Amino acid sequence: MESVVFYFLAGVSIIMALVVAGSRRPTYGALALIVCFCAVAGLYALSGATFLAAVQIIVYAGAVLVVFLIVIMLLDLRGETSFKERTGALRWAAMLVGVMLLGLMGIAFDGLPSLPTDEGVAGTAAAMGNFLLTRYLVPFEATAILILAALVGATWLARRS
Amino acid sequence: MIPVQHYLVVSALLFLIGATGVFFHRNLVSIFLCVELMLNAVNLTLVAGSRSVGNLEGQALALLVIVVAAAEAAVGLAILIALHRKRETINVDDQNLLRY
Amino acid sequence: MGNASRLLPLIPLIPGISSLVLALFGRAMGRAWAGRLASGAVGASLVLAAIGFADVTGAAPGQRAITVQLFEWVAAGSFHARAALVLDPLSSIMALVVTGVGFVIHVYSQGYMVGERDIGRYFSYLNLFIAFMLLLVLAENLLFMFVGWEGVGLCSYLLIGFWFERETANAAGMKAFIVNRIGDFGFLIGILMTFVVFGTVSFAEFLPLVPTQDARVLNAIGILLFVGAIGKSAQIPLHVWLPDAMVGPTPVSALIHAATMVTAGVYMVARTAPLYAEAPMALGLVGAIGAVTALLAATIALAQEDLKRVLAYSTVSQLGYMFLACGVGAFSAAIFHLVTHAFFKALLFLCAGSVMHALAGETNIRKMGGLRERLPVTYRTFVMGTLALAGIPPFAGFFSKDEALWSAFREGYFLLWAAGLAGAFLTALYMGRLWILVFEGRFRGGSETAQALPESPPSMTWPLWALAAGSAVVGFIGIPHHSWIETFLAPSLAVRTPRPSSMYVEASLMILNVVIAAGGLLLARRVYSAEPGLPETMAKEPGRLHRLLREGYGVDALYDVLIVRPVLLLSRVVLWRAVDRSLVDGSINGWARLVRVGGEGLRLSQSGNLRLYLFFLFAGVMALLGWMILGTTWAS
Repeated sequence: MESVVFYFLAGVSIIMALVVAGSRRPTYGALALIVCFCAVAGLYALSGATFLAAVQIIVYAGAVLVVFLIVIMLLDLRGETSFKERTGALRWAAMLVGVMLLGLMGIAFDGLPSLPTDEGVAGTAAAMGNFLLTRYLVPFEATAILILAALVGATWLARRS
Repeated sequence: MIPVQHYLVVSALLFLIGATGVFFHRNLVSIFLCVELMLNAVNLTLVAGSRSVGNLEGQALALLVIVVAAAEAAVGLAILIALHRKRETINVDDQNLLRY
Repeated sequence: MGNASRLLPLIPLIPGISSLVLALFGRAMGRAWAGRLASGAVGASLVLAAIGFADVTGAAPGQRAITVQLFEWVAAGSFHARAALVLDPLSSIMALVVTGVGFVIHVYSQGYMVGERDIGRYFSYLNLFIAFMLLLVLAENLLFMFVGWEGVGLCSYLLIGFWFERETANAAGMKAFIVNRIGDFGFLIGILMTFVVFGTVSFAEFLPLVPTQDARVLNAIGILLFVGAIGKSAQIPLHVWLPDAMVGPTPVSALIHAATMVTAGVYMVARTAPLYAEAPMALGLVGAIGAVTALLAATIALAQEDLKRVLAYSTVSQLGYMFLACGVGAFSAAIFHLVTHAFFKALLFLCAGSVMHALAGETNIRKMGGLRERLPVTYRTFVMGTLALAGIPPFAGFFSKDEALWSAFREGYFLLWAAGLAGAFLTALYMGRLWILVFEGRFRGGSETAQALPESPPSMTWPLWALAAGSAVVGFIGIPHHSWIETFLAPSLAVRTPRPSSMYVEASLMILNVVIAAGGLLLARRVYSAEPGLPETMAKEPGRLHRLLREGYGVDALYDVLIVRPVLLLSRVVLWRAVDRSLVDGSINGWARLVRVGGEGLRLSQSGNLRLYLFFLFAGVMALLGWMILGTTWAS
């Protein structure tokens, strides 16, 4: 049962990722990415990271990508031209690199011993909260500052001068 | 029980697809979207790792990555808007002011 | 004796400090005070030298050397040299001559250099020269003497080129310095060899050890040291700088190139006389070069048109006499001649200066004549100087020259004696020529020079009288068989027992000298007075012999071709173009060019093409990843 869900979610995310990579219009890409993120969130939940799945949907899919969509609509972007025209000569080199990466991964996974699976601690909200506020306190607070900085920066950068 | 390798494969594929997208899009927004995809793939790896090791470190780190990605998206989009306002084009090939 | 050791360092120190003061404040002091300070400093040294001389004379014959150490100068392993001064009969006489003639010339300069700019610099250099010369004659060892030796060479260069705006002055100064340097090279090797052989360069220490050494070693040292003397005292073949040095101010010519610096070579040989006494080959060389120089320089003097150049070659010739005397072992005779020569040669140069002063700088004797009435003081003192130089008794030159020639004859060096005698004849001849062409007859100059014809001011005339008096009287310190100077100098020099000789021979030779000298003067009168038009004809159509003599036997031209031009060529073509420009500059510039070209090349990679950047980013990361993964798989 679990495998079915896994393969389904994995498949959705990969297909949507392909749409993002291949779509001509950014709108389509953004929407596809939202779906992809939701699928990935499902994968998180399947691994036991329920808190993270919730955060993924709320923040990532629900806020960040919505901002993306807003900006896309604000800038009123048109679509792009064809795939071939877009990429030029380098596409062959890039595709070669990609193939090489796949090969590398194949080698890597062949050689690695099978990794242990230890579902020791579940990533529930309570557990995560505890963890974040004790072990990871400093990074947690640092991110607060980071967000503040991003806020100020984004506001200033996008101002009408 | 799904072996961890499966998660890693999915993550790698997502990362690769994202990289391809970054490389092949001309539209800066689209490129940005693909970057987000790549970040997400990394997050998946982290979660898988957390599952493999057995503690919450991976998930905490993934959370932090999400936060950083959000901040970066905000600033990046602001820059994009400013750029669009200034130069009217979002084509990545046209952003060549820093050439020799 | 006590006060001498405190006063001795002051003798060179006072002019040295005065030189420094003049260098720094000379311009602010003004002309008059600069001259007074300079003269005063030398005068003070003169007084101190006189006190020292009195001390030395008054002491018992065995205790006539006072050494004062200033400081431990060099202490490098086994090589020690002290900075020390010694006052003994030889050095005290030299100090007196230097300060005495120096003082007179300083006073003369105050009058002569009126109207010149940069008087402070002039007197500063002149004082510095006196300081270094005193250092040279008072030095206790070879190395310290060498300091003075080099120092006077430096001052000579500075003073010859005093009017540095003139190209000739600069060239002459450089020529003097470079030719000196060639001699100094040999001198320095001689000093080093002295140290190697004897373990010390101090005169008091190594001279007593001389008999212990092999004659070949002593000969080598003697020859090397003499090479330095050849350069410094302008003997053949390094004589070429002295005639050209006459472009400097005339008081400089009088002091440096007549009375003092050029005599440093003679002093050095006399100082190391015990060494030369045991080095027959070296001493023979000294005598031979001295004789040859004495004769040849006299012939060249005969054909010179420039007043000062005649005197310059005359100086070269007379220095040859001094070395001739040394060569036959008569060191005290050499010093005697040095002293007398200092008086009358300085006098003659100052007279020349007086003439030039009156004729607004004219030096060509063909344009002079008839100055006898217009410059009476100059004329009379010039005559006294000429008689002294020619060797007419009772003037000084007679006694000293006679002593030198008699020593040569007595010891059996007949060839040297004959050369000396011939030289004496020529000396009288060219001086007579000079006398007549400058002072007698009709004035042949142009109208410009005809106007400025007053006699010189007292600041210039009383030094003339002082030196003339000296020229007249100083000969009596060396009366044959009652020679005060010979006994006085005996402790300092090596005394060879003279060969037995006959009084009759001696007396007849003395008479012969007088006859020769008088004959030369009379012949000159005959030739030059009888044909008043001779100067002009000689000027227009010089004969072959005349030209040869006038050009100094072509030695300068020879050096030019053999040495000067090749060196210049080497410098310009090889060292300048090839090495300096191409090699050194090229390699430096090459590096710079490399960096620049490299930068320009690398700059092209900044295309601004973001996608290209991204691609390389990815490719790099993939490469890294691949390296890590493959590394792990291969390891496992």
